[in-house]
Amino acid sequence: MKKYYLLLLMATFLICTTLKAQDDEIEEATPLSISGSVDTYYKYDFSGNPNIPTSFASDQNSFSIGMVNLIASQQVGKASFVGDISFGPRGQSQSIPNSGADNNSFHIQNLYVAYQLSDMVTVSGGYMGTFVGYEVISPTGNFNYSTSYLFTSGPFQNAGLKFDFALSEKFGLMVGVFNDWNEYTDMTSSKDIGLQLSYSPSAGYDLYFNLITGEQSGTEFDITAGLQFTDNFYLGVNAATYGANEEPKLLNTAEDTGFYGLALYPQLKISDVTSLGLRFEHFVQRDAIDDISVDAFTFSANIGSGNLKFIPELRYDTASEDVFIDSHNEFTGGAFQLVAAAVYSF
Amino acid sequence: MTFTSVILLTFLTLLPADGSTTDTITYQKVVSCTGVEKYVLESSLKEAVYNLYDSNALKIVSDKIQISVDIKIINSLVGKVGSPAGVLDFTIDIEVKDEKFRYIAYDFYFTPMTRNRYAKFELEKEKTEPVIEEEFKGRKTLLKKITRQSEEYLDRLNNELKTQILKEKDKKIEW
Repeated sequence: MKKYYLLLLMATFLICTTLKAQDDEIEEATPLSISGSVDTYYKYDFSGNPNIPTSFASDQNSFSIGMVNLIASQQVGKASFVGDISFGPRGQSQSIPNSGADNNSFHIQNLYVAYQLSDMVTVSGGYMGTFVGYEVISPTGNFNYSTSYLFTSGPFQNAGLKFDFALSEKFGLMVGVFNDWNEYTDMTSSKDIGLQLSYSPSAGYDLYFNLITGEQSGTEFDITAGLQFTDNFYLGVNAATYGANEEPKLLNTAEDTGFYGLALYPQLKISDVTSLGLRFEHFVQRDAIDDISVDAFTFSANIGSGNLKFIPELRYDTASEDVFIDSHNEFTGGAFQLVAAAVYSF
Repeated sequence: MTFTSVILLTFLTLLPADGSTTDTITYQKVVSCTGVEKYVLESSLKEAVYNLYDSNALKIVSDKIQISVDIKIINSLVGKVGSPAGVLDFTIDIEVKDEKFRYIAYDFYFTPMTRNRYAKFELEKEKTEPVIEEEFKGRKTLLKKITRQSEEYLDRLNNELKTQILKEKDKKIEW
């Protein structure tokens, strides 16, 4: 595989060296953009135990914080950058690695530069939010405040080099070579290969077919769709399967490790300031002896039309085995929780 | 006619000229160019818009120059720091007569922008909507930004066109 990575890097170098110097071109600069969000929440699991292992909103019976997210970006001519930093549990240990010299997070969610090689091709390099999956780390990008099992189990970031090809108005292709998932610094010699094919038949309809695979990382196939059927009704879809072999190989097909699942996100806008949404998820954790499955029902409202959004949420998870703890501290198959969150974006 | 007598006067303040609440906002300006004949003004304006815009954005229809414009609407923070709220598309028609020209900006459409999963701003194309005051009642701040930044853009365009016309005039005098 190494020779393919080298070929890709050499090709990138050759393309970049043929670019005209930026000074020669008439450039249109957009202002430096600063935006971001803050989020805070209260969660109560009716058993009195934290139970549902959601990525964020994890503190039981506590008024807790998510993160302060600050994003700087700019585009000058064909060149652009994004620097995205975050502080707080959601933006540090719950979503990015602790791999600094003193084992601290660098607070970096996204740090990359991009250059538009032509109308059809853009190259980006750095540390980037993953292209896999439906939900994202930023609370402004999700309808529900708690997260799905598919989100928690998949990659969060991919550091690497990627090429985006606008094949036509409807089709797009991304090809990239990346570190192992969620790593600022790759500690292994192998690299991951990432592919994304996107299809947008019309405005409001988007389909993504994603693949990330590596000898050390395993292989995940993922399908994501956003379907705006009417002005008021939207359906999101996410399906994924992941496996990892004991013996490292580029394409992993193990049937006794990893996970698979399906999540549906119907959402209904009932007024200019209120939308209601349900997330139904069926998730299976593969195991050599017996798989464990969970069905999760999350009902959320998004209230607010400006910068501030309030998200009340009820969630019930039921598992094929007794994996939760009830109010008597006995194992049980279900868990029921309430979350009230506020997200301010700017 | 001598070009030395050229005096550029702008009659107008930017006038939101939307006669009804069902149309998008509209602006109209009449710019007086005393002493400049229609054919000279027409050629100067064509020269000017070809200098200012990509040819794909321009259409010359009989006596009318039509420009398709898109500008980013910015949420300003401090100085030149801000974040894009979206893109505003509109059309400008320029019509020329002896000693004056008029431009009308109309068909304003706003497409909001949002950060994608890579924290990069992208257009939410399915949310494109005409800029009709009635429809923006609950978003007065956004409407104010749209109108203010449109007006600033048209002011800049007005100044650019004046400068270009004067340049053309000077060239001809030198010759």
